Amino acid sequence: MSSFSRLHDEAADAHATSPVAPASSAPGGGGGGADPAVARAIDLLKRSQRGDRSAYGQLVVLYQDRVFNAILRMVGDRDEAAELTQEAFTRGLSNLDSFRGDAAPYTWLFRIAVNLAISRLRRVQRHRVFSLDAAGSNGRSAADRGGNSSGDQAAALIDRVRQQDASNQPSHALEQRERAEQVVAALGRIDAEYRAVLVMRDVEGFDYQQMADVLGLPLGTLKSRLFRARIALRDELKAYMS
Amino acid sequence: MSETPNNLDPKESTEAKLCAYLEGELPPAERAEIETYLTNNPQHRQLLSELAKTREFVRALPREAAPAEIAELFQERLERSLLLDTDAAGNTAPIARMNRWPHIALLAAMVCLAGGLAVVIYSVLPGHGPAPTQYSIAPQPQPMATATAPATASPSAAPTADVVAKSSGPAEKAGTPTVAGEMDLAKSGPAPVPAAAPTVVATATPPATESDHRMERFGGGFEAGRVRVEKSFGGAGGGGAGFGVVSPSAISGSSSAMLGVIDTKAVNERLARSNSTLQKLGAAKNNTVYVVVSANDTNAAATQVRDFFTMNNIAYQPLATDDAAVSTGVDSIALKSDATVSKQAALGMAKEEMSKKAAFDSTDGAMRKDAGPDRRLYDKDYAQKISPRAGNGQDMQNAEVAANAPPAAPQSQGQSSTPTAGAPAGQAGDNLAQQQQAANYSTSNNYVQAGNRNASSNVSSSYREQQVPQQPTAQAQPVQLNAAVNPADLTANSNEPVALGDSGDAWVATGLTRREAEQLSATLSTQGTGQIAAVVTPTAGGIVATGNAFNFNGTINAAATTLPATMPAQQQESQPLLFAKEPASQSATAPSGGAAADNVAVNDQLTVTVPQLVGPGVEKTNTVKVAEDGTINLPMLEPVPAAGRTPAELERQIGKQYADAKLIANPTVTVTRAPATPATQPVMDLPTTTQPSAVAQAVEEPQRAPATQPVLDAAERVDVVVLLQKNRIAVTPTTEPAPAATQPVEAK
Repeated sequence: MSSFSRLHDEAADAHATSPVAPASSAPGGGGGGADPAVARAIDLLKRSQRGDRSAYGQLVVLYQDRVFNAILRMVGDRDEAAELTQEAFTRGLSNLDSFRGDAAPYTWLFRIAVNLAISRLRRVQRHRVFSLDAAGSNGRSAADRGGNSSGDQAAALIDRVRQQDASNQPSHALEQRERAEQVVAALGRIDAEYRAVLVMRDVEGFDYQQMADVLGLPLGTLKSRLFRARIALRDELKAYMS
Repeated sequence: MSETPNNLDPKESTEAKLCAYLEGELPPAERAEIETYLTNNPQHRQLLSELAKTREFVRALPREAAPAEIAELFQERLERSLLLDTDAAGNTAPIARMNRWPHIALLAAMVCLAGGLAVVIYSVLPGHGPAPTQYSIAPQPQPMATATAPATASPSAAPTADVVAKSSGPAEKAGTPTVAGEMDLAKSGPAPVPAAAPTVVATATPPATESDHRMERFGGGFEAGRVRVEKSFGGAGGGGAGFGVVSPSAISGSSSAMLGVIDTKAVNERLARSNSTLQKLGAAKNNTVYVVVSANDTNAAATQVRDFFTMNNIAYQPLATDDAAVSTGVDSIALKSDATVSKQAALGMAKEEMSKKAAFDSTDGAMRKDAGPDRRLYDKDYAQKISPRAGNGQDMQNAEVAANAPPAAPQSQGQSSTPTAGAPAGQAGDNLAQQQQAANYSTSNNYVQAGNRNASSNVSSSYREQQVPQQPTAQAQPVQLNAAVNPADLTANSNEPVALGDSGDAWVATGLTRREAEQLSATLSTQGTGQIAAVVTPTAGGIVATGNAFNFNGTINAAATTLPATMPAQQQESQPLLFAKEPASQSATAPSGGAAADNVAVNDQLTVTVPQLVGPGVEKTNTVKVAEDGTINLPMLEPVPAAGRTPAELERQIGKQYADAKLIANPTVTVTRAPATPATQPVMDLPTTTQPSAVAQAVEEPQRAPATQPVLDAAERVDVVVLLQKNRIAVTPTTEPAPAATQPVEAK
């Protein structure tokens, strides 16, 4: 669809120029401040609530990269992330009435996406039985790395990143790539709730209040969970860092 | 960010503070506190350093762009969910629900439309409505009577048909019988063919379930059943022999007319009631035709009757139907020729006439000479009616006429109204009276002038016979109405209930030709409305057989003297039924004469020329003989009904059959005729004095002069009495016409 493609390009440009998840920033627009992007998102969502399908389509184009990226960091698989992204947008369309304007449109949409991702991760953790042999770059098997079911996701993601950056990478780039692989793999191995708070905080740059709104947790509990998530991730990356 | 929830346990609270320290969000005091702690615990400082490092690692992860097809995939998914009426997750909750009510409404409308169409088609298709009446027509050639048929005719003969209606009119419909038997009746007219002719029997066997429908269609009041209508062609006798004979015994059972209009029982009853009245009114005289109209809408029929008379410049008078009035003679007198005579005056005259008659009776035949100008009120009918009673001393008119009549007129003999040479004058008082009446009539100004119509037809047979030579200008005579009333008859029959018709409408007109009577009948017969009218002439099996068509109580009046030779004496008994209970056989019912001279008869040799006839072995000119069934055989044609038709009519018929058979588009047919051998077909002979049939009749009934046999043709003048009844059969009896030999046939 041409209009979708055009909007997608515009959103891609905006996404490319956006800061990389600064923790102190307000990536989703906190409550609809003076941010023009947030104001536009609110307008699109309002129009969507009035039945303007094209408005919702523009909203999808506007947020699809961010949603996809966040879900990808949570689930570790692009296809699954793409599927969940579509699912999130669909759920958002089905629940337009649930948007009451007390949160940023992206926050509202991200809440849908993260809940989907968490649900998916919990389900996968219960039923996935395949091997974790998709070892990371360190050559350890998934069993060696802890043996949880999410290891395969991290391994797959690492492999994909490795393939993407296989050639013409300077040494620094290689180091970053290796580090990214390790981090992705480590994220894939920690608990889904920990992944969620880490992604929201470190990838999406949500503040504590936004995170509390999305996850429905008190701030103290949220901070405690975030601290534990970092310790868990550090434990996963301890070997790499050492 | 320095918030530290109070509801946290110490461990969580410490973790929250460490998280905030790591994020650099602790207040300086708490931060200094933690710095002091970390100074004393270097392993914890190492931990926090590693946590900060992992945070940077996560933040340093590259941002992945969503696949380009995400938007399009989402659009496809959205559309799919819309079509499947499910959301993207497969739930039945639709994202955009389609409104199915229009579809349901459209479907319901289509179903209703289809149902309605089916009902319409079902009702239109044949086989679902009332079953059509089925008729079958079976030609049934039957030999007609011989010359002696009238003598053998017996009213007690068992009927052979449920309903038999014979027409003495021209055999125009011969070979083309129709179920509309009433039309055959309606077309009854002169009987030009004095011989047997083919008989067509039309039989209708309607389903029993159709009875009500048919009854309603034909005016109601008729029973359902099987009726056979028999029509004879050319079987005319000297007495105006075309007639209708219906067997009441058969009809009174389970039968009713196919025609739906012949309720013979009712007709017989009605005629029985009205007979005396008709007789009183002078209807039962010579040369009177009765048209009985059966109609649902009697008012409309009455209008038709009057219109017919008016349009044809025919003078007519209404007949009273009130029993009391008739019994007192009021309306009878009103029928006198002068239409201007009031009823009261007529009543007075009638009473006066009665008194005169009484005086005459008291003198036992003495001549009453003071009749004076009142005699003009007596027309030929009156004279005829009283004449037969002359021998019994009942008729003062005989004496009156005898006294006033000029001498030398040959008188008829016995009961014959026709003068016969050499007849004793003393036995022919009626003729004298008639003669005198004719004289009065001819000079009277008291008769209604009916346009330019000729009036001589109203003259009685004897009158005409004698007056024609004397009055060659008879055409100039005015038309008179049948008005003569015999006061004695009025008195004698006053106790008999009279009902001319259910509707009470009746008219009398004089000076019509038979053709006009037929036209009147045809005019009044309106197909599809149940209204019919018919001219039915008497015969041995019917009215004539009673001796007097209208004298159902057994009285033989003057009219009886003019009855055709077909009337045996023993049959002149009371027969109060127009439709004989036991109609005579074919031979008995066959009239003995009266056919027009130019009509084709059985055994006639005809030369038929059709120039357009071509083909191997096909002659353009064929000489054929009229078969016993009245038909002739021509090349490539079905038998053509010929008997009873004039050559011209036959030419048209032949041409029509050739055209109908698509053999010749416009055939030119010429028919010439050579008379048949009289000896072989006595009954077919013309009823003239020289015809063998007349001789035969004379043998059978010598008291009746064969010379009285009239020639019946369409131009014959008759008096017409129209009776209108509601939903009854139209039946018209007629009495004997004037002798043909002496009757001046006057063109209309």
